Amino acid sequence: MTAFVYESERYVPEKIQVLGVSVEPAEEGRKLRERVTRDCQEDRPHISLDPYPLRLLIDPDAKLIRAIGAENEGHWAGLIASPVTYIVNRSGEIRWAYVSASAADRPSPVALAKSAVAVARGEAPPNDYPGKM
Amino acid sequence: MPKMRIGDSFPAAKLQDIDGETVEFPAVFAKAPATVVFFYRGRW
Repeated sequence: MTAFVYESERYVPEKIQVLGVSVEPAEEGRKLRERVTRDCQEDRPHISLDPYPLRLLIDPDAKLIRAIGAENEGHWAGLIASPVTYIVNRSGEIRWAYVSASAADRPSPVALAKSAVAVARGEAPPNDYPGKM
Repeated sequence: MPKMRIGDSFPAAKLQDIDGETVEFPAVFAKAPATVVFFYRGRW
């Protein structure tokens, strides 16, 4: 999540929206947002956080998480979402995807932003970073 | 294993954000030329 805030200068001018989904209660999501906000204000105070560059959504029954097939039922913490990242165009069509092998496996923040900018401009995502399925 | 592939339509769902505002999929995608949706584990 921090990476999305730190790279927001790539997203905001293109009017790209960023949505994060988890089973976490809203209160935990607000705490996470506060932590990321404090980090950003200390590390990169030039970044504007008004309006906030991403929205966190709660999926307590994992309805959407199950609909995309990202549910992880066997985790010690209970049902959680496996990490997956999509870029979706205005029509609701998935144009790019990165299915992480683990919580530590995340798409390159810069490459992800470049792919999102391409989709926002109606172009194909760059071939040099095709995502991962 | 995620079912959704490149070219698929994102499924329909109605969620709330952490501030209590309702967000409807796929209608929310019409609000921007592109949307990044990331699913994260939470429950740290």
